[in-house]
Amino acid sequence: MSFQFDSLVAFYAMGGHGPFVWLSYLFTLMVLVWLVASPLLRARRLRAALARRRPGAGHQRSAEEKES
Amino acid sequence: MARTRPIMPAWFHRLGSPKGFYSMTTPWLPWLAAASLVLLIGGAVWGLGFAPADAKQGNSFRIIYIHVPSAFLALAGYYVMAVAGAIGLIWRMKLSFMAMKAAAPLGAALTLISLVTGALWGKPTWGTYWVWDARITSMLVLFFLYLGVIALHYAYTNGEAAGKAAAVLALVGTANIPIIYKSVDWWYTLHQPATIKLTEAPSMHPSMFQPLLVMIAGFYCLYALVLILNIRAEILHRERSSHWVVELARRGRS
Amino acid sequence: MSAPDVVPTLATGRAFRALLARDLTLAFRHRGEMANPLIFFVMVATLIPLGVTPESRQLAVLAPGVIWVMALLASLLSAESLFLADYRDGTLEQLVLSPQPLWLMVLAKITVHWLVTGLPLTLLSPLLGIMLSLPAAGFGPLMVSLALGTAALSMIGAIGAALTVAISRGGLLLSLIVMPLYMPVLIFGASAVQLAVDGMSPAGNLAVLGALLAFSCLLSPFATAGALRVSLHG
Repeated sequence: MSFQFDSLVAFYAMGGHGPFVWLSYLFTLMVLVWLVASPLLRARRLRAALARRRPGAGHQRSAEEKES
Repeated sequence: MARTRPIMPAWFHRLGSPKGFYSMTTPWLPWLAAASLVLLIGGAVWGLGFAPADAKQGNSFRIIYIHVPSAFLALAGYYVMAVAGAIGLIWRMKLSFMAMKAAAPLGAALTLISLVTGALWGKPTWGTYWVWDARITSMLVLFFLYLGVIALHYAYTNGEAAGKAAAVLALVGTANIPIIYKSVDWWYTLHQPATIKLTEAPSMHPSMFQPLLVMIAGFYCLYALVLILNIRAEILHRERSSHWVVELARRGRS
Repeated sequence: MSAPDVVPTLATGRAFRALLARDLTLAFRHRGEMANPLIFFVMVATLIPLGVTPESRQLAVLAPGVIWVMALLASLLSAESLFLADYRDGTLEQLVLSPQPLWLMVLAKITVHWLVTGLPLTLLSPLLGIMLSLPAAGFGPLMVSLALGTAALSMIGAIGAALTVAISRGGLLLSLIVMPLYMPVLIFGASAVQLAVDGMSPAGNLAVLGALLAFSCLLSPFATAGALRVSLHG
């Protein structure tokens, strides 16, 4: 198993198919990063909102205790 | 007439508690993230630089290392979504509906990746960005199926009803997927006698196939990671008035 | 004050026929609304030559698929009306709460829906064949495929109608939901006509259409009943 290209320039050019290959990988990278980042950001926003709203001790009955 | 549902062991119901799920999955996250990163970056580098180019297609062939895994996961993800919906309907599990809700945009994004990379692969191979071949058309229909489930979730104002309605739709879609795939296949062979296969997995040389396996494994890990992250965020939102969530927020770390 | 031991209920068969008769009567009372999808069907036939070409030979190539697509769109337009009127005046609620099996009541409604939308569409289709220069061999398979296909489309559309009945302006969402499910019917219906036009036998495709209809008859009443319960009772 060896590196398939003569040089990094050749690697970048991909024998003329460079734009297509790199665009594909770039687009995928952006989508995957967004897929991971969006729930993390959402969770952080939710936690921040909760922490702000109740600065003192909260006497909230657990929703689960209420349910069962 | 009493409604009976299948008897399940106690751990099944413990698994279904949002709090239990949240605390159980917390230690999993770093492992899933590490595995996804290693497999995806390793597989991509391998496929881009070290796997041989295809004799006919040249270097555009390297797009397969994203196109196939994403298509694979997009299809599998629909079944994950439908099964989660079915479990939610049968056992009335809130968590299962949350899993289904999380799986819908995830699957749609993967389908989109598969469509875009398919188009970018098609241009150097066949000269056009869009070709109505059986595989791509089926992927497009899958994309529409996902959009329908997502749109239904948003249209209902009552979250609980939204989950149930989306579950019904996902199940109807599941019954139809084999039919849709077969009929698109049939439609394509009717109009284009020369079937062009976009991927030739069975006839691939092992040195081309191995990085593909690595990428598929990487996508699986990433799927699991993103699904769990979304379920956790949804749990935080739905259980925001409960004690343990407030404690979690006040402590400042998950 | 105790409730009676036996609540008098209508026998299932009679309930089915009663609902059938009621819906048919109501549909005929609103003949104008019934005509709308049909008028749409014929008018769009005029759009195709205007937008593409009036040349008869080229129209003939397009005709099988175009007629089928227009029939599908007309079906889609009419799908929303299946439950909407009853939902608005509370009859739907009564149907869901009644002791009759809901899937059977749904089946009655879908049957009437097909009788007043799909069937007229099928009978009108030769007119479109003439307008779009459909070759003679295609007319028979066109009618058979439309008869089977529109019935399947009514069945499938009912699921979407049930899921979106309680949503305001749910018509567009209904189209989005139902379109992927419509596609196999379109594929086999249009290709049956195309095969006949090309001189080959459409029998296989028509058989598949029949199978799709049977499958949808099996799946749809129950899925629709479940969807109605979710829509109405959350």
